[in-house]
Amino acid sequence: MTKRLSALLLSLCVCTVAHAQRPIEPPSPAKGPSAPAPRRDISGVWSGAAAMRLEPFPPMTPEGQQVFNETKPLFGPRAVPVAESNHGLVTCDPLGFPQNLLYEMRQIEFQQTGSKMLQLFQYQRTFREIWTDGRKLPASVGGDSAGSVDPRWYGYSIGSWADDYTFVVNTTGFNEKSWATAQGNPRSMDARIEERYRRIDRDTLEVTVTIDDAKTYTKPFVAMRHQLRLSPKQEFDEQLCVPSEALEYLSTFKPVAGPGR
Amino acid sequence: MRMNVAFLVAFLSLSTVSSYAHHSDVAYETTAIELKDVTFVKTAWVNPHSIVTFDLKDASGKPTQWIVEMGSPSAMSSVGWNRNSLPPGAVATVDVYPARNGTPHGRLARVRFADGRTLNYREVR
Repeated sequence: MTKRLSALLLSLCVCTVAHAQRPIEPPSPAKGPSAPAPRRDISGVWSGAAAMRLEPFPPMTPEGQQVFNETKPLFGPRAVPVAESNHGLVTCDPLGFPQNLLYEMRQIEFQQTGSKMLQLFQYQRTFREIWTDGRKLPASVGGDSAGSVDPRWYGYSIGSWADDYTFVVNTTGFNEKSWATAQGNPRSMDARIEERYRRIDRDTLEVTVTIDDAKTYTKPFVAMRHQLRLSPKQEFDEQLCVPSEALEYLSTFKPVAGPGR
Repeated sequence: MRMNVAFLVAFLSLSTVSSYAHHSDVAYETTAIELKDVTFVKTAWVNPHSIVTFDLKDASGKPTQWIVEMGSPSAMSSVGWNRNSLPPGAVATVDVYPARNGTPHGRLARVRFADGRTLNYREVR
């Protein structure tokens, strides 16, 4: 058995040059039932996926469709070469919310403090502040009044516990420079987006993202359901998009999008 | 034990062929080609995509310079590569997904050196 296992592992681990590997923690092997979830605690590093599987989106409103038609994404059935795309990813713009969830979620981390939940992302090493101090979402975003706040890439987020194992986040107030998905699905400034993080057991966190954006979509809908796996010893990769290097890359590979020879 | 082995195998399979996709592969062919005895010129170990430049000689000895994209440094290092994996002057056989428009560009899948060492990044289809 040991011999067969070694041969199998050798054939799979085809990177045969002996380089020092950064420690990568495999997901915990299934050893039977996980321990129960702790109460009101989702802190720690959670492993997701390199590409998220999205739920079907509903039909768009005419206004949403118009914005969608202007997007030239890098992914999905309407994907174009990099040099022709207007996806912010090309120039390393912030992914914004909820694209930072719906695009990819290799590693995220929650850190709970007394007044807010910090959500850390491996991709671009960004973070969100999710306020848990009882404040409300801004009443006015992008308006003319003195009390109106500016729209933002990641919007404004508040969170609370729906029960001992479910943390619910509500977010609104987005700028419209980024999209909801890497496939070019838009979201408007006034979209309301809910995330439900349900800790099923110690090792499993289920996230459900619901988009309510009457300006863009004909009805509210669940955009993604995904289960994350607890990875307490996982170190974040330095997974970055570096603007200066991205511009050089774009220049180098511009001929790929052209008519060629 | 059987379950643990299956889990480990699944994890390693993902580790060796998954990539940090920054964009789609719409500009590239979906079938890889093999380029024999290329000579590496330089490697740019940069984000979001590392880039390797190499020369490929035709039958008459005339070289064509290819520019081929790889994954991000973190993606490459997660499957055993580092910035010195393709030293200038080294000769190898490479598998790439070439640009659809015929320019000498591509996406790297695999590098095989004459001494048997192999570096995989993408699945070769």
